[in-house]
Amino acid sequence: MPDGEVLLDVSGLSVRFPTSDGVVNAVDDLSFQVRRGETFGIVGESGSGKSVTNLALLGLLNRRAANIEGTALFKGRDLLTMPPGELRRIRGKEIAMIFQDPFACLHPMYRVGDQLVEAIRAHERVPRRQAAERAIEVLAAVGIPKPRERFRDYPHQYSGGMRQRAMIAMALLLNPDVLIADEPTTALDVTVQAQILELIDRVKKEFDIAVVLITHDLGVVAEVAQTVMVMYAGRAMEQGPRQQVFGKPLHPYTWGLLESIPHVDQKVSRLVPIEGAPPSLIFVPPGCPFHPRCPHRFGPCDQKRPEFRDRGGGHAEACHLSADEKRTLWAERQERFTRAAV
Amino acid sequence: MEPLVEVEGLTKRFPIHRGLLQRTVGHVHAVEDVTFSIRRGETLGLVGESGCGKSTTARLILKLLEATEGTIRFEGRDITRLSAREMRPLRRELQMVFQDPYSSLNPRQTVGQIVGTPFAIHGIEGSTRSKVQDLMERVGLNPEHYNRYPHEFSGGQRQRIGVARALALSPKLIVCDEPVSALDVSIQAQILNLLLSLQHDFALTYLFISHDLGVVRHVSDRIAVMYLGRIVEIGDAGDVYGVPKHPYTAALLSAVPTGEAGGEMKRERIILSGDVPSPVDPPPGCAFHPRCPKARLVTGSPDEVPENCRTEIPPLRNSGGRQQAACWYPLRPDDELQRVVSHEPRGS
Amino acid sequence: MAAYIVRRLVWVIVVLLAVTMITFAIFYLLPTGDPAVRFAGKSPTPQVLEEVRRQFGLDKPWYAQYWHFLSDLTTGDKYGWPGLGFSFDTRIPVREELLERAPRTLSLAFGAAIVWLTLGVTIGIVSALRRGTLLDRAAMGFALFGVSAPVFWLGLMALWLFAETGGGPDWLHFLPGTGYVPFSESPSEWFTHLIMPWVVLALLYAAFYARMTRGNLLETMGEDYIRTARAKGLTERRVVFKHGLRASLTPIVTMFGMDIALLVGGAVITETVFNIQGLGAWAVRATFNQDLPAVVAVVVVSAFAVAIMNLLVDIVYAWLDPRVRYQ
Repeated sequence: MPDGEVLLDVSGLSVRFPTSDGVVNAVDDLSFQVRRGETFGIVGESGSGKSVTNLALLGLLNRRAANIEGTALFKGRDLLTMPPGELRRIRGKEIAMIFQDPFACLHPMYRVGDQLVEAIRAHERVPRRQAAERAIEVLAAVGIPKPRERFRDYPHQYSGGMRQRAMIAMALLLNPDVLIADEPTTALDVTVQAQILELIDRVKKEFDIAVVLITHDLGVVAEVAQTVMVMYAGRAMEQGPRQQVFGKPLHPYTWGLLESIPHVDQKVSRLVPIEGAPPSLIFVPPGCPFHPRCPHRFGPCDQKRPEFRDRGGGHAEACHLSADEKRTLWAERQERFTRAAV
Repeated sequence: MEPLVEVEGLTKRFPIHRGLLQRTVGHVHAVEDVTFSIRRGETLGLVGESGCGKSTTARLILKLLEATEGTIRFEGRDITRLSAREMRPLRRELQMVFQDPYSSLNPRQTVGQIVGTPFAIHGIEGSTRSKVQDLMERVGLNPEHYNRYPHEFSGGQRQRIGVARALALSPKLIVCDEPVSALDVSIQAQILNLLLSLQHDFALTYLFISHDLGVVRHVSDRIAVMYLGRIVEIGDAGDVYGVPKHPYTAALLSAVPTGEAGGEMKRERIILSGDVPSPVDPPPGCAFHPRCPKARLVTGSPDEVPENCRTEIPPLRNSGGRQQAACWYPLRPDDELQRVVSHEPRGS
Repeated sequence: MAAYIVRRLVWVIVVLLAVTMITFAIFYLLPTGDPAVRFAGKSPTPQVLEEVRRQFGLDKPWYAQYWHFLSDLTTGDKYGWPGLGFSFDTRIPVREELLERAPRTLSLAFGAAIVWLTLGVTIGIVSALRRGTLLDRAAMGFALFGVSAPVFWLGLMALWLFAETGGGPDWLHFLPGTGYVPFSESPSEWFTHLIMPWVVLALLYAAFYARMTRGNLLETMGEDYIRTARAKGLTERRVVFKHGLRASLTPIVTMFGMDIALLVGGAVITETVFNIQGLGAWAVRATFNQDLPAVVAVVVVSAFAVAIMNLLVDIVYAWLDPRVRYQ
């Protein structure tokens, strides 16, 4: 369990979008804490609510379109009720974000350097020249070769990996406390992904910050996160220290995810997919949202919403099965899985 | 038995036009001197990063693009220079499943029309409807949804429609171009399992293209790794992944996050520096030499690579393992590549 | 960039040559009748006709005439440079008439352009930022009106309402009627005479520009880099005006250049309604009267305007969008 100070304390976060087809329940009663010095991984498939969560925290959702409930304390101040002007001063300075597609995230018509300088000067009254010097320094720190020349380039003159580095540089300019990385490597090739993940890990240590890493890739989360939260249909299914969640997973959805991924270093004769498809967020199944796809569903699953509870050691999950039943089921599934390995 | 597809010296260069008269000022070397064969009933996986030429290779084989050089033989017959007309009877034998199930299906056609069109085009007799419904059932769709439109289906179901369409005319070869990349992980496994069981039932041959190394490993019997338009390593899946001989293959495999590091990224990983060079002006000699950790291991200096790596293009040949690799200094078990380039290039 | 501009200027010349040649060819290939017959007066003798043809150069094949035209154009004729000959219709040197009429059309076109650009872009921005509100709907209603109202009707209505000579309520008659007063004669008269034509002509374009600005801005505001701009804590004003607007105005630059260029060829209806004897009215009359020199002159001016505006658009575009510059 990481023991740094709690920087972000989210509790009871719900995000709903009323639409003409009905209310979209994008995030439903989510609670988590992020501590300094840790990488907090949020993993989920599309529509699981992982990205909306973070947009909501930073006030990047259209407040007229979204109903946001709950609290999100950042160093004791609630981000969700804060006036927009105050939140703006936190965005980019104390909480910084990088996004999935580095090709689309930098403005194509401004020099990379100017975009960095602008980020500094949005929060601090410093002369341009001084801001530029700092930007060049940070570009160098994130591994941009010849940063002084690259500073004057436009985004299209950068490769994908370099653009993501520039985005990371932009995020680090003002020494934030939290870096939110939303699918930071999804658009990148695997060798570049490795570079960027290593970079994020390095800056986390060098700048002593908390990283919230949002991804659909279990491998990425397992590689770099200390705490993991698995989301499905806007809810947290399982959460806990990395070794727990991947080593002794407790939720059938997590089991399904782990078994459906083909591995590089192990060949199995047959993958075990999760049958069916994720539900519409307008008609989320009653009870446990995963029950229609769950092979272990029983009596209460389609009736009662399982409580999200700590099962010891910070390992929490939401499932009606008892701890004993789970131990047996997971053991059985693992045995079947190993037998399938060739 | 003769292979189903044989490709020899396949090359595709796209000219770049510039200026007033649109003169050709250079070429994009998309595919360079690629040679391989696909045996009947097997899956050949083609992996590589974006821009390595894997999709172009597939399009050349399907004759959706005209090859600049080289030959493509299908069932022993040279089809490289066949005209569109001469290709028509062959089209039923060669099918494709695309990456994006959202844009590769005509939104104004029902499933019945999409899957049934190939029958009509090739003048197949008999009740199209029952054939289409059989196919739908086989790929795991409800045959009663015959009259529904693509937007009424989820991503995974749409990809099943794409598979059914490809399957309609009992093809011999199906090229799968990133067929699961746009799908969620829980759905990916469904489609991969479907493709494998169809292969078993209909004796299909697949050319399977993906950037996801795990997915390729799962479905492929043999695997070819591409870099900057060339095959750098090819062989049985277990050999290529288990004991890679080309440094690029090794780096690629080591870059895949698997979670073994325990959340600390401790695993000794080979991190390549820099980016893939432009295919307009690929490096001379071995195209990988500017990033190659093994070449630096050979010279013992981070700034130097052996002469032949810089000047001569290494041929694809047996390199100590069962597979073939295009490398002057194929990997040996005791090579420790991660020691060579383990640090980020720091800006100066 | 300089080399690029030179190359483009060479293109402008090529285009002008092609356009004028085609104009000549069409004039002689189409059965338009004999201009000499008109010029020679009522029931001319064959000798007179022959003499007129010889004077006009009409007795030579069209390519010879074209060559003659080109050499006059480049080196000038007895009326000065560029040599455009004299009108078959009025016998006034074409160059003189062109210099008389061009300022009228240019005043009309550029004045209207300024009006519609300011009006259209402002309305577009406001309604994009206030999407779905009453303001937005009112703005789009105005746009629909502007797009669908015919220019001649708008013009006549404006005259009826605001002109001294109009039939509408007297207290609204604060503008002079039709006609044109050169700027050099009286800047204020020039201005007051042009207000109505400017607004009437601009209304149609403003409507298009408003809709286009609104659409572009809404699309741009959904881009990832706008989210980045917000995420780094910029004020909303800066996000919209620095990041959003720049990207959404670039396509408008293209449209703006082409629209102005086409107007130089003549805003015939507006010129007619407000009795501004500009290039458009001239072109129409010259075409009806088989006045080849006048037709060619208008064609040259319009083609030149299109080509030059095109070049300007490309330069401005490259300045706005670095991706174009570095290709």
